[in-house]
Amino acid sequence: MKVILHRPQRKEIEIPGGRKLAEIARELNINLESHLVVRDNNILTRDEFIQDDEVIEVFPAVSGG
Amino acid sequence: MRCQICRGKASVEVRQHHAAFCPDCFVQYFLKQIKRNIQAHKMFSFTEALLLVVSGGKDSLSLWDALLRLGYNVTALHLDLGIPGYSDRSRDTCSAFAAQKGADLRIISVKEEFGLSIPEIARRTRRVPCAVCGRVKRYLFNRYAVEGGFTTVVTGHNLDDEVAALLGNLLHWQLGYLARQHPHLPSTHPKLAKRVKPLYTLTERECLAYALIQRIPFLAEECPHAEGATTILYKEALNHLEEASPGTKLAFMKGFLKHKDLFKAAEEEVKLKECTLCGQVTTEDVCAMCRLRERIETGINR
Repeated sequence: MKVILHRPQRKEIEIPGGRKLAEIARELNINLESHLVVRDNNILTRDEFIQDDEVIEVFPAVSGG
Repeated sequence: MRCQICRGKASVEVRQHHAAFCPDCFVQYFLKQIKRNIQAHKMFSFTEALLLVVSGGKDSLSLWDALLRLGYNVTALHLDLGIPGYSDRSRDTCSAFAAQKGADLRIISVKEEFGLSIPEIARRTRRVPCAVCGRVKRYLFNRYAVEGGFTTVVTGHNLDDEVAALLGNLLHWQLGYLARQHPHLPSTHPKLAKRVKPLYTLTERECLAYALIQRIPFLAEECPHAEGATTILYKEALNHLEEASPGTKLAFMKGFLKHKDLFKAAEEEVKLKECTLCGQVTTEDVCAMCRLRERIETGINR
């Protein structure tokens, strides 16, 4: 599966899919309290299952303020 | 996970309320929270003329969208800071949103006002850009509101902004700031507009979710001067706590407001007067902005 990370720079990485978002977030050290994960324009909850051929995008919510 | 309202497929989990919502129900929840905050703190009524400060980011544009949907009398104000590239994109984002919604947007430029942009003022006065920016913003927003007949300055500060400020103020025991921190700062002088923060219980993540669901074309780019800001460090620390213990941030904020009287003794009795140079409200004879303006003209750091 492909993960598109936004900020600081746009970056794409390939990791094994076929597991829940919570597990993927843990592996990538992404805090789901400060990020939203989107698949096909839909925001995902942490229990969502991500297939190996899917693409997810990770948007950070924190700004300088 | 199921939406707690309609039992459809959930999209946004809101763990501080042990809840999850589908996109449509999340929008209703978000609007309801804002309305509740406005009413709970008697921030403003439907007839009051509001001046909403917008940067083009997800928080201010989400709040703008929400206030328009809720039927408030809102005019937006964008301040062009003159930061190369970033400020052009911020201004264009606000203008595009206003055009799309048919909403009222006013734009003022720091360069037109002071002859220099924020980075140029910072260099000239040998100050940190964020400190200069904060001072300029507070001054211009209030002056524009008072001169334009707006009763209220509305800002898009969210829960994360507020708890990060609270943590910073506690770590450094800024008792004066703690005494003043509140989502509703009433007007205490005819030339001082009241300031309110209707998003103060909603997280940055919820604001981002609202912006994405409503397809609001916000500017995701960070201000180049925000890199490495202490606020971001505090926000990250608080989000680590939130991940381990959902509801920490909201409890921190609500607990502070509940026990705010503890800091009352630190609230200095200040006598507000009008600046002898510009006529704006100040505690000194000459206001901080006019003193900064003087430094800009002389180029001397005093």
